[in-house]
Amino acid sequence: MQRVREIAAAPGYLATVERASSFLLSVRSAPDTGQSGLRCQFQLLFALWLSGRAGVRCHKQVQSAAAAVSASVTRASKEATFDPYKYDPKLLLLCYRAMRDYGVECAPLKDFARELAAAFLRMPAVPRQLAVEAYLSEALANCENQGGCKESESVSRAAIELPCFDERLLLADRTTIESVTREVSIASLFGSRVASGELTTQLSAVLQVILLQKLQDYDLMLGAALLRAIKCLGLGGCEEARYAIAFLLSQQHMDGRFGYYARELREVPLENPDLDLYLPVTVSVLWAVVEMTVPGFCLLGRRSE
Amino acid sequence: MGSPDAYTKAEAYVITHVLFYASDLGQRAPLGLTVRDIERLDKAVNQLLGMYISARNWDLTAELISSSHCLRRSSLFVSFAWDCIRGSQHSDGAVPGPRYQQVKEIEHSVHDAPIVEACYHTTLVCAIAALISSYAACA
Repeated sequence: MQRVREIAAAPGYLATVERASSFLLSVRSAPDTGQSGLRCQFQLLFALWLSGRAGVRCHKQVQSAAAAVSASVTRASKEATFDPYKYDPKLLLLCYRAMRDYGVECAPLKDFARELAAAFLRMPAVPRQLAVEAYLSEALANCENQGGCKESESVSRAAIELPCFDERLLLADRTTIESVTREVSIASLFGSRVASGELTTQLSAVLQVILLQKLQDYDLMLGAALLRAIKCLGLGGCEEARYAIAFLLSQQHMDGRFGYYARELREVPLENPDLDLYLPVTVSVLWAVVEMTVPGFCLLGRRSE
Repeated sequence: MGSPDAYTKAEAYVITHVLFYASDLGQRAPLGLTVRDIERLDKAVNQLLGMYISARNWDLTAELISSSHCLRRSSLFVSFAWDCIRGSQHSDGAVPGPRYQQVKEIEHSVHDAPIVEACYHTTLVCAIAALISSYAACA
């Protein structure tokens, strides 16, 4: 079993992460069948794994969540209802990594990671959009083969320059901004390498302003994604990022969930707001909080160039 | 000064108007402000300008373009802000204000008072911003 590395968040922030973990544990009774139920379980495992990496004492809970996900995936796989390509492959690979960290086996996810790694190795060049998947799947496959995570070979072959973005991004819709944050994650491999590109400085300035605007619009998920992107660009210490993290922290309830949505829920009632609204928001914000407050935190581990 | 994302629109207008008075609408360097104040205001004006372009609020966008000139600084977003205002201007010269869409949905014709009202202030502050920008360019 790979040793779980713990770098604690600063004490004040650790309490925030602990509260968020308490909320996540309280919604762990999520239904474990069907695509949406499994997606919730993956999100929960990912977030609990992040909490563990931030220094929250939740080893048993993460292990138990990992075991539950493994059991659900294995059962769905036996019933031929598990199609890994229906989920975000990055989330699945990160959950598999979390399972490995906690000594939990999951044959269908292991096969999925191997299948992806083999496919990437066969490609003459990895498309930029799949660089993170290539990096993760090959690192995981290398762990299986050699007992330790090695850097991906195909990522070195992937073109991971950031495309050009300019001020026009200020007028972009939500989907475009989300795709830009994904581009930044890909270019920097979730912050494990420095993103390059001609206009990185200009992009940073625009993203910092969009971050403030989205938080003013109370779009916490997009705000958290933008904050992570800004950190990936190496600007986690900028004034806008500090404002944003302070604002996000102020939006935590006593039970650990993030976001105040009473008005939205009155207008559009949800069957299960904990799972359908608060869980994705809390996972996204928690991830940003961990990225911003745990010294030296890097989701995929630091990669030297 | 705190975080710009926490400013209300009214507070953003307060900042712009303080700068208009302190600089006599850009005719002189702002009075009563320390170098540090100017640095902080410059940063806030730049952030707010980007935010209000993003919100497509051409009224505050024009006010903030003027503010940037009153501070005698050049914001990263001024040129793009002008592109946006030009792009939104109607053929009769009116620039739609923040309430324009809402008013338009009630099917008023372009010369009806509510439409004129929804464009009046924004068109005026855009004209003032253009004047202040031209002083700045001459200076």
